[in-house]
Amino acid sequence: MIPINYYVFLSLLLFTVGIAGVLTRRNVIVILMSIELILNAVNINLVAFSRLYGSADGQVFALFIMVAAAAEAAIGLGIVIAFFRNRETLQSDEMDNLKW
Amino acid sequence: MAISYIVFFLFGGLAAVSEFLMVTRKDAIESAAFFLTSILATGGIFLQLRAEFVFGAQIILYAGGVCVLFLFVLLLLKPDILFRQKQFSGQARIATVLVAVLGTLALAAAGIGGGLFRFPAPSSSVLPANTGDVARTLFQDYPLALEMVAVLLLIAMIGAVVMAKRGT
Repeated sequence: MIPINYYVFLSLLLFTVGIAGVLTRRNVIVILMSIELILNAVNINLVAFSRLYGSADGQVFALFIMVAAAAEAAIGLGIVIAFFRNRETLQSDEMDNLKW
Repeated sequence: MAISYIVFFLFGGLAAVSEFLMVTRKDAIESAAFFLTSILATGGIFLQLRAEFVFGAQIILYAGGVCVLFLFVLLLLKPDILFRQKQFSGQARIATVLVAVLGTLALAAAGIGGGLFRFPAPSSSVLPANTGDVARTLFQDYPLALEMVAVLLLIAMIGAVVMAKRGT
C-alpha cells in the first residue's frame, strides 16, 4: 500500500481548494458543489485509514457522510429553487432578509 | 507496486485539477461538469484503496444522483438570467490569499512536524476490509445510526418536496 501520508496530503489539497470555492464564489449552487467536494475530501481520509488498519469502520463512516451530503444537497437545492422563485437571483450576498 | 503509485497520481491529479477548474470556471454548467470529473476521480482513489462498496455508492449517489440534481436545478432556473450575474464575490482575492496561507500552514505542520503525524507503517499482512466486513460493521456495530440515517433521508426528501412546491 502507498504510504498513508500521500492520501492525507491529497485530502488536504482537495479540502483547501473546496474552502477556496466556498469563500470566493457568489453563485449558491457552486458553493453547494464546493461543500460536497469538501465532504468528499474527508471521505478519502476515512477510507485510507480504514485500509491502513484493515477495519471497516472508516468505510461505514464514509457511507454515513455520503448520506448526509446527499440529504444536504436535496435540502439546499430545494431552498435554492424556493429562493429563486421569489427573488430571481442566486447571489449569496443578496440573501440578506435576516439582516437588520 | 509501482502501478499503484501510477494509479494514485493519475486519479489524485485528475481530482485536484478538476476541482481547481470547478472553482475557477465562470460558467456554472462547466463547474458542474468538472464536479462530476472530480467525483469520478475520487471514486478511482476509493477503488485503488480496495473500498469497492464505497466506490459503488460514490458512483450511484454522487455521479448518478447529486450531480444530475445540480445540473437539473441549474438548467431549471433560467440560465440566461443566472449567468449574467456576477460569479465571484468581491472578497475573492483576499479569500484566496487566506486559503493559500491556511493550506501552506497545514502543509508545513504535516511536513516539518513529521514527528506529530507519524502513522504506523502499512504492513502487507493487513487484509483490506471487504464488502462483507462493511455489511457486518454496518448492521452489527452501528444499527441505530443506520436507522437514524434512513429517517434523515426520508425527512430530507419530504422537506425538499415541500420547499420546491409552488405556492407555499
